[in-house]
Amino acid sequence: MSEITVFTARKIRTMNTSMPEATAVAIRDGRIIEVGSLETLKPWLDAFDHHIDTRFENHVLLPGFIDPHLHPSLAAILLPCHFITAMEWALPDRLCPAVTTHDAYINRLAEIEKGIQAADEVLITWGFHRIWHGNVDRQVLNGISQTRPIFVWQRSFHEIIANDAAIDWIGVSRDELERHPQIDLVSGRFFETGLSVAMNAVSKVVLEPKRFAYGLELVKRTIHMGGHTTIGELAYPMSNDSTEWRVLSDVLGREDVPFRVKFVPRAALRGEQIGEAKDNIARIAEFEKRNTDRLFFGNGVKLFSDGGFFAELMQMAEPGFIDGHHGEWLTEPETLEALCRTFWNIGKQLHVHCTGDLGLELALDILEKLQFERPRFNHRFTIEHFGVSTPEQVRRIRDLGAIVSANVYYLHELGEAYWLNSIGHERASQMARLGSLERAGIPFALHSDFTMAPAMPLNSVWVAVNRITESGAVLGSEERVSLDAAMRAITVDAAYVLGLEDDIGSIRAGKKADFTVLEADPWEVAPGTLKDIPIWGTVFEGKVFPVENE
Amino acid sequence: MNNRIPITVLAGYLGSGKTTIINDILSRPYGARLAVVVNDFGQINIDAKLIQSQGTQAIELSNGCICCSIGDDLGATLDKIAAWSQPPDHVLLEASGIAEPTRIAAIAGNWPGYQLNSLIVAADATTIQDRACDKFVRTLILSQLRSADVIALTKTDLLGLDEKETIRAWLSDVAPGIGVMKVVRGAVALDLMLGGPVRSPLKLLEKRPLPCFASASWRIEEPVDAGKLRECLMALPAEIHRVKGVVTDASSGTRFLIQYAGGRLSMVPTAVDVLPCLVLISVGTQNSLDKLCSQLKKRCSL
Repeated sequence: MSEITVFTARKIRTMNTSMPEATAVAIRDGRIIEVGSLETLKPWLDAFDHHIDTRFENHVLLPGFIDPHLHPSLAAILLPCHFITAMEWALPDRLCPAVTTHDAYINRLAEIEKGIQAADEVLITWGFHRIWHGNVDRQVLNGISQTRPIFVWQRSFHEIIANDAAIDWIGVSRDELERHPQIDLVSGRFFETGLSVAMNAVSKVVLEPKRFAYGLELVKRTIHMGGHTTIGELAYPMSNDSTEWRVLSDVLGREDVPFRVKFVPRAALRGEQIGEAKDNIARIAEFEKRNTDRLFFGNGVKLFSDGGFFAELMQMAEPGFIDGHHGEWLTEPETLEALCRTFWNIGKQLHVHCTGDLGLELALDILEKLQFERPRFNHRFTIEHFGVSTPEQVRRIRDLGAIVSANVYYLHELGEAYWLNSIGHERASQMARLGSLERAGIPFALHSDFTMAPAMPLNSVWVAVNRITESGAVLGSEERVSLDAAMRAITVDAAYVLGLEDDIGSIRAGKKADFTVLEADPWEVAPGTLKDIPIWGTVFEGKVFPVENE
Repeated sequence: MNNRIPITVLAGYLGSGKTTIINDILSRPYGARLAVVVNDFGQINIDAKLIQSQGTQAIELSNGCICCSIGDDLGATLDKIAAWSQPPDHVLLEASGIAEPTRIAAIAGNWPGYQLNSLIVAADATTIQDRACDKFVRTLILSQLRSADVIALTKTDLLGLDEKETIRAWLSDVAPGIGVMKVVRGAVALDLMLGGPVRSPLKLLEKRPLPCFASASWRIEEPVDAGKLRECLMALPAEIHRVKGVVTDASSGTRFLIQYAGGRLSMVPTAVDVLPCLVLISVGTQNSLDKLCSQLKKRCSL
């Protein structure tokens, strides 16, 4: 048995309502022995060798933050790209300041281009948004380089703009590109279905194994920087299990990684195909043989209802979208029901991606049928994302015993845009209806779905508590949540969503010694500054990991 | 003229009969090199003995990210097929049940080296009207039907005469101006599916009048006199394009696979385990074909 270590702190916010505050925590072999004060810890300290570590004397300790829904593989594709974004992005290897004008955008892109040594390197930048950055087209990009392929990947991933060198680099004759109704070679734009042609070429760069491994290295640091000690990968695999697992386990399975990953596998390998129930069950059961302390599969499976929220493809009930377009299903409703039934009946926890109110309605209809056929308690059927909902659906979520893992950042980045251009004020202002969840007593977690939102739990807390939008206005003030609820949503309630609450999520005897070390107490700062609280670092299973400032 | 590969998209909701159609296509001679791209081999008869036509290949799409195009390999698969040392003369692409067909057709039909031949949307005659009222999929179902060049109406053999009329009328109401072909047990008029373009590739909304085809099927409950059948088939009028199916000979008990195209008949013993049935496809009206079919029945039955 190892020696006991005692961390003292200005304050420990345990997130255990039975004893919310403390000043000292004793740990041994990566687990908490007792939390309290040096005085109350005395029986342990008298009985065993120990040392007192006072380095957090001026800091505030919280349970290690948990993001129960993000996708390391997707993030690894994006992070090696050059970010030029309208909003500031703090990344582990760089700070990307907000770039909000056309000229600033061009200057920044030219600067990046000049900084690249290798003559044949393809430049891919992400974050372009016409509202801020104006008209960036082929000619403008040719002005930056005649020889280096430049691809400008739009913020919501649905358009790519290329210079002449990039159009040539795609390797398809201009005649073939020209005839495509959604490729415009004059402006260099590839959009909607034409985007696939550009992506097919760009994929060769972003999926190149070395670059992908480097991207994953950046993901690792991003997650640490946000103060996380546990994350959920909520749809494994992204594409190909064997190569993906090799890289993920190589990069994220090492001893120097300060967090654990719970993998939640897809219920079926392709959204639209059901496959044989026994095959899907066997495939998922097989995953658990890979479990280690750091990387593991558990009882969860992931399913998909309706389309992406950023892509405006959520399924909306009447009156739908202002422009009359329709959302899409990611799984046929019947197939989703059959898959849910398969896994419900063997006692799995179902995590269902739902973005629009009609998508949510489908998930709840299915849950209601399953409860009728084979009632279960403590099943933790989880609504993932929770974009648009109705107040009536909140009651149904409660009545059926479901819980929620929400991306509240939608409200911040898209609230006003969707108000003006998509679904109108009433429904846009009530997206991420978290206040209602809190009032109904429904447990909920906050997630980033990184890179749909920054992987910064305190940023999500800030949005949930204030509901401040991109322009700085407050949208849907009735749906703000208490700070207590928001902090639970990145700690103990997030652990509950992942089914890990006996091990992590609060600071109490017996749990893992995971802490997030803050420079200020969230309960003492102004709510409007929650996102700005500096994170000193983390403690993961008793080991101290400061965030390196570069 | 160009040398782009014609591509036909077969769309339709879950259970609409796409897989049955594909299995039927895989099981008969096409007469040219055909590549069939499917979402899942699960229900497809890739069994070599069923892929009767030489040169036909089935390719499965693999997994991509479900909510963005990263790793989506439709394009990569099309590139691979086009790069074969002997590229196919035609590609048939199965769209997923939740796909907006115009979107898939726009991606595939404008892919470098490809040209859209036609967009076929399968619809199950026995369920399509209910589906079109479902609160979750009604929008998708109607949008699928309206985007078709041709609606392949499957399982019509399970309907009574009145019901057939009702569904025809309903279709012309919700999807006006779109041709409908009846498909029984997956047997489609290949010429209609893979024959020639029924629309110009760039103008997704432009419709052209369809060549007039009719198909009829004869489900053969009893064994037949194989000798008589051979005589009858050899005497078929010229407007019959194709006949295909399996029959059991009454006297010997042998099962024959029957293939008739362009006046040539092949009757070979087969182990294929399907219900005996003959499908006839003709240029001309449904009426005259149905009449011919009933004559055939009368003459060959014991």
